[in-house]
Amino acid sequence: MKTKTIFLSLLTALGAACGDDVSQTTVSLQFALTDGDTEIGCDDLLAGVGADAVDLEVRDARFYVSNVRLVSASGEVPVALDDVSPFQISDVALVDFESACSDAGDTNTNDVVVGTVPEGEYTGVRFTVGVPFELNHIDQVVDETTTTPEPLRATGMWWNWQGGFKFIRVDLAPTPDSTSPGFNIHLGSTACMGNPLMGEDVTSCGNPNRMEVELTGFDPASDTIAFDLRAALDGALTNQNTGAALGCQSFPMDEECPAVFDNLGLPYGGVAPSGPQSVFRVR
Amino acid sequence: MLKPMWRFTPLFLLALACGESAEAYVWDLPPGFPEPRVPEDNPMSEAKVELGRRLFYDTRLSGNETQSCASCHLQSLAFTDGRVQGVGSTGEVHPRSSMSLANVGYAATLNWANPLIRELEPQALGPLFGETPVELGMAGREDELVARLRGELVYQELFPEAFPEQEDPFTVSRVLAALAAFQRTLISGRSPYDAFTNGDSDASSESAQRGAELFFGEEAECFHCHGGFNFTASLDHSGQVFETLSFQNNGLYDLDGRGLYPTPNFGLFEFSEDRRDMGSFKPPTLRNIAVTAPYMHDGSIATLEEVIQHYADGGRNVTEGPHVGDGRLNPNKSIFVNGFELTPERQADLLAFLESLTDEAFLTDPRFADPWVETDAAP
Repeated sequence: MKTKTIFLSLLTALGAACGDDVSQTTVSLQFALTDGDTEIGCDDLLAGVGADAVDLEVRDARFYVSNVRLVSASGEVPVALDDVSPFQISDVALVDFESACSDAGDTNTNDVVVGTVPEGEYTGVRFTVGVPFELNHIDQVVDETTTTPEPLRATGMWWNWQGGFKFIRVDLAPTPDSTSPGFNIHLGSTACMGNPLMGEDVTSCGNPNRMEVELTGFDPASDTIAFDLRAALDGALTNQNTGAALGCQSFPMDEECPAVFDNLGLPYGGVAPSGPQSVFRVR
Repeated sequence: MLKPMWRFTPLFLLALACGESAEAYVWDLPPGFPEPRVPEDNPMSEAKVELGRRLFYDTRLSGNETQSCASCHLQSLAFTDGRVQGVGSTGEVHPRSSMSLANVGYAATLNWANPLIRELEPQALGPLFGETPVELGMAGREDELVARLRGELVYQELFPEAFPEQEDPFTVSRVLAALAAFQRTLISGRSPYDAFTNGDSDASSESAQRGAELFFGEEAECFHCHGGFNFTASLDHSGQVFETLSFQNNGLYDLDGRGLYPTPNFGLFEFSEDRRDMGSFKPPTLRNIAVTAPYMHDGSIATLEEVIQHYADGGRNVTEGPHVGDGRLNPNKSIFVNGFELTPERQADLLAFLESLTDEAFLTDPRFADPWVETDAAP
């Protein structure tokens, strides 16, 4: 509280000095998991999705949001994320629609990202889906004595194999009469290397795979940001599993990945996306 | 009566001087072995090693309580499992073969081809919490894991003993630390070959000696990737300034004439996405190699004789099945896998040499065995 007060007084002082008083306001970005325009949740059915129009059920849907900005006529301003246990710190927030329908999840859910911005007429939002690089390659250990921030303690979002976190985790299981093996979307940074001679940790990633989202015609006070699973699977080969990783888990040379990455607006296998992401939209 | 007194006095003084600080851990190292590198934040102690051993053999470390680390790492098989590919607690088949844990504390990198995992502490996160594939299946269940361990009487003593400075030692990171400490004690260096090089001329047969000459010679060239005291170029120990990472392609496959390996086992390429790294895997230690069949990252070679033939051929030409292609012509193949002339005598000699790397004492050492069996048998 003390820090916040000082911060605000400083801002006021600054504003006064410039003859332009800017007061701060709280913004609460509302997210929703959807099938097209319909809000869905854990265990709900996605009928006829992907290029193969298979039936799948939601078992997990979580993602990290960072670098949040609101856009007004005069440009963009950063949203200072509140430090709210356990789903967000100032650098990153976990949006979590998983409510214990996954073996790797729990009953806790979170569908809002809360922060502070200068008061203004905002008509758009921009954010990154992913964990910032500086946090993505920390030691992932659950321990009250370590400094691992709370949103990063969900082991279901760990991606130890790649030395980072899953930025998006979507697990979709086949229905009893579906021919699909199921389809998972696990997005995260790949091709990460350190300096092998020095035994260093990760210093860079060939495929950062952080999604940039920009939504226009967005009123933060009344609109919701939809995370549309049907759109995420658009054109995806949902009736097969060619690699060892079910669905698309960011693994190279996986036939189930190109369509998904294109939907996420990310390059895959050296191929640029056909356009911006189409999975998040204003609802 | 006086003698013992005199012997005890210096020890007593030492103890006083050191106050309550923990005694230095005493390694049981074979002749010529350096100490493993130990992370500063996880010093060795007898209590921690014993805790690690308990955890290593504890099925409470798997989601459905059916598997422990030891399920895929059996002491009698130098901590491999004899399977072509590992099988996890939920029945999911691992794309790769279980690796030996002999001398794992000296490995520069863990796993078959992961350059990111260099220490045993984070390595254990993979089998515990990994989901592609599911091994122990604990993802999202860390609280349950800690609760299970908290309920065990043996742990109620061992955790505080192993981590005396902690108010509450029951955490996932302590589990990782203890598992790592135990695994660093899995040191194998008392094979007949070691006895021979340490002066016991009867320890190695004539045939094995000829095999060793071939192994360390410039014709077979085995030693380039499997040299040093641990018979691998992937090496790290306490006296080393730089870790020596090594990932090599030994010509097992070439699906497309450009070096493609069968999905998903792309080796180092999975991490670097550099096509030159396609099919490059860590050369494993050859200690106890005779008991760790089947061989290669995917268990695709059944016997040691066939492995020798593979290298004599300079790779493998797959002529039928889904993986057709001439691995001998793989553009990424190590320059040392060129083939060599293999006579039946040479084959037998190389085999005899490799068999002389089997350390029976290691395979049967009670310090590495399942401690829960002892507890159950105790009166």
